[in-house]
Amino acid sequence: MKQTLRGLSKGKKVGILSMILPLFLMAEVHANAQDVHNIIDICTSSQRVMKDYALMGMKIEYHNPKKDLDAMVKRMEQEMEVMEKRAISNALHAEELALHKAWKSIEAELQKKPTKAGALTLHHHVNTFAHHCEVMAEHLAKDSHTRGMYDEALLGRINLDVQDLAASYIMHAWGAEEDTEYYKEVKEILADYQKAYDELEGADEKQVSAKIKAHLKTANKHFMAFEFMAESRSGRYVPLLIAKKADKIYTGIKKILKEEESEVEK
Amino acid sequence: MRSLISKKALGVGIACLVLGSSGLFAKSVSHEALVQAEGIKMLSQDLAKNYFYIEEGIQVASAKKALKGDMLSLDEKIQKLQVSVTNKKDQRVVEFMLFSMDELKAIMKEKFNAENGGLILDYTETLLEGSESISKHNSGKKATMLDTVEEMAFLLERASKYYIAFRAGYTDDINIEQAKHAVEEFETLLRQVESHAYVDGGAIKAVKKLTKYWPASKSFYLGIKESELPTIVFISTKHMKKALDRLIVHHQK
Repeated sequence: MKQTLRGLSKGKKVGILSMILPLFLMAEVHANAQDVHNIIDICTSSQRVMKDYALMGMKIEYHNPKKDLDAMVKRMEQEMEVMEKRAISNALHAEELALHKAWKSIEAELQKKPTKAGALTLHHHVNTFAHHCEVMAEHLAKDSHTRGMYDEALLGRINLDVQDLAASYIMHAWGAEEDTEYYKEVKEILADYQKAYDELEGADEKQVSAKIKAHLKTANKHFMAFEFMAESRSGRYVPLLIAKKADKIYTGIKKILKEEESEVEK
Repeated sequence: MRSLISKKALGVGIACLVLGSSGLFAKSVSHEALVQAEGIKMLSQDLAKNYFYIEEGIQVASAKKALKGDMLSLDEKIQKLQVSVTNKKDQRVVEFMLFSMDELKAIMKEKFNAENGGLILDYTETLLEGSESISKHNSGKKATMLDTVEEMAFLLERASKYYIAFRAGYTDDINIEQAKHAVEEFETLLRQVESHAYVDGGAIKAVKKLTKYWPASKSFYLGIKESELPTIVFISTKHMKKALDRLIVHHQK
């Protein structure tokens, strides 16, 4: 059965993220930069769960995806706990409950042995989770009055695109995602990535620092693997390489966001 | 649920061979670029194979020498390719190949571990992907027996790469499927060679050699038969390679 939710979720995701960006510049203060980074990280990590699950299913365990998965689940739970402790409006409560419900479904699926059918179910839960997560991110962004976060939100979007693409690529390599659905999705994600990348790269240095631009260049070099392999129809796959590149980009962007966090809060 | 390589994809290699040589693709790269791309295609497989031979402690001295040669040749060919491609898309492919080479060199400097072995397999696949994306522009001449035997030499290299990777423990679904794919394609082309009306005594002998060694080698490549003596597989592959070289020379005349 094809996952139609995924396509919808992607569209919504782009839409929501586009809404978030201007809000960083004009919203009232309640949430801080760390809150926004946390929620973006939670959204991004949900895609990474998918990637490691599929690697395990394919028996590509040369870099121990189980260990990565366990660590990621633990960290996500901690981040959600931090988020829960933040004073948030009642309007978010329903989303928070929905997010936790989706998370429980993800956890339940992760307890089972990975299978292709299980991957589709997990993918569905991950997309549901990601949707609620992004709605929460929008609210937190509204709640934040922090200036100078536009570029960071774009970096967050790039990271989300990369992890999303890695998850889809590995699922497709495994044979859990159909060709038609996959190639359509890849096209969308690649275009979304390129748009965010071009915007950051072309931005004034007052808006996007030279440091971020340098980091972005490195990330884009690693991204070449996605550019060439994701749309390939050769029947050859490089899931370990894609997973590694996704890790490198994820870690790199997280690091720069962390560094910028203190700057933004000043 | 589809298998890792669909029937459609399975035929891509052979289809490229046929379409590529039937004039359906517009010629947009130079002969020089095509020569380099073909060389990279073959070296990508040889490099990974030699890497695993060393790690498995088989024919170490010769594999080390060959690996060093593969790296040098790849560097040289990618650089030549860089100056011989003109369109932006191909230039980007070469840029990616150069980046892959840098990554390969960095891994080679590190001590062997499971992840590095897996990455060697994947990076050599990206080199192969890059070389094929350049050579697919090839237009050309009518399908020739030379194309067929050259493709067989590549597939033989690929199958033997997976054989040694399996021994090293890289038996994930993707590798198993790729080995199967290479073996199936080789067999299809072998049938074409066997049905070709050779008159030259040397060529006839070479075909007989392929027919003789293939069945046993095939089961080793697929991991059906486990050989405790990988040197035997190494030698039978060498015999088949020699036979194919003979046929390549024959068809080049």
